[in-house]
Amino acid sequence: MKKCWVVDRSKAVRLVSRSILENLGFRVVDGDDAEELWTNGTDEVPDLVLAEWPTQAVSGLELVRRFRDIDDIRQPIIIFCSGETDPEKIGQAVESGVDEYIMKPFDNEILESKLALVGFI
Amino acid sequence: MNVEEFHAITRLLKKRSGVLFGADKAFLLESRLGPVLRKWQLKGLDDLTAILRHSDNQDLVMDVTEAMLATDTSFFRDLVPFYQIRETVLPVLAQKTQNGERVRLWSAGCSSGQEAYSLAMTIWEARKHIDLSKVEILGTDLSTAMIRKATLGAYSQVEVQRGLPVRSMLKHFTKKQDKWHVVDELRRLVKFEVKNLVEPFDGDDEFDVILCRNVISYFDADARGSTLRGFAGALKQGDGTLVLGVGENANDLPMLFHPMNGHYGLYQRKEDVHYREAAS
Repeated sequence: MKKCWVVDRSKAVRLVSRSILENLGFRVVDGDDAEELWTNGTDEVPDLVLAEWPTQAVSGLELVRRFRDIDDIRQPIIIFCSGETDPEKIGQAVESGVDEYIMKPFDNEILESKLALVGFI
Repeated sequence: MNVEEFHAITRLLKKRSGVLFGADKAFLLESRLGPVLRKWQLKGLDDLTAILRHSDNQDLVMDVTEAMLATDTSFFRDLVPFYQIRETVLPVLAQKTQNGERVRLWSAGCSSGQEAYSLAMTIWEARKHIDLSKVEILGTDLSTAMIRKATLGAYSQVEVQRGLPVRSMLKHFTKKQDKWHVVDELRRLVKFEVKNLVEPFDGDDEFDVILCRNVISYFDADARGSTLRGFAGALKQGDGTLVLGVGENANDLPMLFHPMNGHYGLYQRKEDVHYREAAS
């Protein structure tokens, strides 16, 4: 079973994402703090990270950097999920090495289509 | 809604569009016609069917048809057809443009234009090999409202995210206020027209590729047959390619189409026998 982290300060976003991802067969770990998931969860690298951008403690960009700096793991697919809709700012996120980007608000069709684009469906 | 109302509306839709709605779709009529009732200030479906029966109000007929045929669509829907087009069809088109030939692609039943623009993006990405000045993409739909929207090429935040990779969004769209607009270099490749697929095609041998996905599966056998025969007339013989959707096929017309081996939903237009005889 594929494992996914959902990091978002909004409980509603976490609940909706968890529901969609579990229906698609993911095992979901969620939290409002990327640092906490990083500290407790890195012994098992997730297949997918759905991360709010920016997050409170660790920015989404920092999270990408931390994963991408580890050489000897199968890199997770990282999707940013953000209220930021300015193309220039989205471009910065894309350049950081994120695989996909979702503008909030989103629905299950958007999430599923993005997962299809990164090869999960 | 009673059975009579349901049949009155489905008969109208069949006549206008070829689309056949089974009784299992009755719930769709009720949910989708709500806005039409409000617009025309009608109390209920009784009033609507009464007007449809006793008058020839074409504006109302069009509103009903468009409301019932409205479909959600996305960019690069189903992914596989676009992969197949990129790998198999584009090299042939590229060769043709390098030989100075014009190539034409038709997105039939294009709704609000996402498929046509997805084709344009796919071709634009191959611009090193394909001469864009020789490419024309036509999108057609029965609905004037959809064609208006497609021509505008402006999509909401929700629409622009469905199926579209973020890198493509940044490359091929600009954001103005709350809409994402297709950039001019893609819009130049695409034009849109209102067309009913059930009506005879008036062109001849014009297209290298026709995409018609998730459309004919809603048609009855007659409408499906006439639409596919229309496509056969519109496709270049020998190498014209028809791309159908999931669960759709052209197997009833083996004289006109043969499936392309190893390609899901792709059919090649056969050459008509009399053409071969005339040439020999």
